[in-house]
Amino acid sequence: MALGFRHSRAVAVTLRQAASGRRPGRTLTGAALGVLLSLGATALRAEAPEGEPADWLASMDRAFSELDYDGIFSFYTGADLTTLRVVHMQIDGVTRERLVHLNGAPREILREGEAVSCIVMPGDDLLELESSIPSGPFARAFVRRFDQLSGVYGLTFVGYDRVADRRAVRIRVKPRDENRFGYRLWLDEQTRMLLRSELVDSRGQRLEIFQFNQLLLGADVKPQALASSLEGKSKDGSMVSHLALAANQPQPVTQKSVGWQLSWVPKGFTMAAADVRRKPSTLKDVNTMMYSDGIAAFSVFIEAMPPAGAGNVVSRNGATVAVTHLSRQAEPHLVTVVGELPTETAQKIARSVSTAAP
Amino acid sequence: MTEQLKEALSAVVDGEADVFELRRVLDEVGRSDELTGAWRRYHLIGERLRGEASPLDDQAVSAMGDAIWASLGDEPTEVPAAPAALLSKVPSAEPEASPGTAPWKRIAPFAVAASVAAAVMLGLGGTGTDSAQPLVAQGAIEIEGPIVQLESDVSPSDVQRANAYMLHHVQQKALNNPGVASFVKVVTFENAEPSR
Repeated sequence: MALGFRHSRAVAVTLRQAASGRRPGRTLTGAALGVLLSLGATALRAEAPEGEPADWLASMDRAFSELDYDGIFSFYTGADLTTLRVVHMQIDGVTRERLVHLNGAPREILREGEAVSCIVMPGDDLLELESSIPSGPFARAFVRRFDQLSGVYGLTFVGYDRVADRRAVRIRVKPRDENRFGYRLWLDEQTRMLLRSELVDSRGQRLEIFQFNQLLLGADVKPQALASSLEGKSKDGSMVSHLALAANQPQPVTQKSVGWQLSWVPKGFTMAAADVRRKPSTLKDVNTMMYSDGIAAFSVFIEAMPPAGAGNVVSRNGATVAVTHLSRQAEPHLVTVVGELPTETAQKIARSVSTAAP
Repeated sequence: MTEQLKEALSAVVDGEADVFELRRVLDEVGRSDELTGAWRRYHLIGERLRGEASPLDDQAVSAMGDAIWASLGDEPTEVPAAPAALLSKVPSAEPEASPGTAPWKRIAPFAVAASVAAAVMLGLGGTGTDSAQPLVAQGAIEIEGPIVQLESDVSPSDVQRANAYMLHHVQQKALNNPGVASFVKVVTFENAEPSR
């Protein structure tokens, strides 16, 4: 049994080597692997991806926006496994994107340049939620500077793998403290497109998994794939609701100076945006602040205590947590912190909210 | 360079880097004069690996740990426990085929050796149970379901508000980040109501 296992393992190793195309395939026993490990085996120079991991992350971001791709991917948040299709193209300098929910309630997100709309069916929870808070215009304040991550994350290549039938370079993004999550990334060796990612907590548990199952790139992507399949349905009676994500939203009351401050944020997080929005449902102001460390982000919402009061909520969906804190400083206020953070960290941030010094 | 090496070794310790990555790191070490001591220790590990007929045998692994630690002149008392702890904590996902097929045998021998090697390198070998946890987590996908804790008197409107803010946050984040990965959260967002 053990021998059989060992044999199959050795074959697997041989296949990986053959795929790398740099070494002759040969059957390896455990002992021979020891030889591989030995420093005397200098003839077998280890291959390494070119450049630094941070360069790869920057390229990954560019690949998302610059490449044409059409793929099916799965996203696992712990709550659910969902499968989606994404089509992304640059046409005449304008970014066109279509994201289709393949399971459950029909939902599509269509993006054309700056205009983003979400098509959902009537009665969709997403629509109800959206109407309960103001959104947009959106801050584009945090630029991802991967070369400045090293203070809070350790980046390293951790080998090769295969995802969606493509050879992938694996990169680990490990937080240097317990106030943020880590990532395991699989980037396409050829295009540096993200093929798979795992968001992991400090115990190594995976909170979210994203993975392409199938991916077309470049000239294989056809513009017809950008057309919504839900649009047509409105003609035969079933209503389709358009939800503008970036347009036709109320303007922020002020762009700066929200009157609140955080006395503690985890290292590396800086404020990306702050403004005051008016809730359509209650017409009450909500102070919002968004912070980012270059990868993770959290938002802080501060509002006057609702007349009916509020309870302490801790709600987690995959890596995203929402916690509330009832602040009794001066006027009673309700603080809600939402972000890709460990629960304790979110709670500590929420407790640190105080009125800004004049 | 030293930082890069440390990250790579840390990944090996956590069981997240494969043998080829380790070998690459070893090559890096070889080019660094300042790390010749590390080179020597790796060399010892290589010899041990070649010398052991069955690296899968846990006694052999323990013995290897002893030898490595003895060579380092470090506290030998903590060492044998390190590989043993790493191995025994890996959960068995399937019934054992025979008494001889311990769950940990599903770990490739070189992975175990690599972990031991890197643990020795970083001096993490006997520092506690933390270093064993990533290996444990490899055994199964354990993903937390949605948790809505009702700490005190939480009303449906509290939950609705929290969910709305959550959606707002993921939208904001999506619009700040290029690419599909962030928008996924918007389109997959479910208005989870606590059962009450």
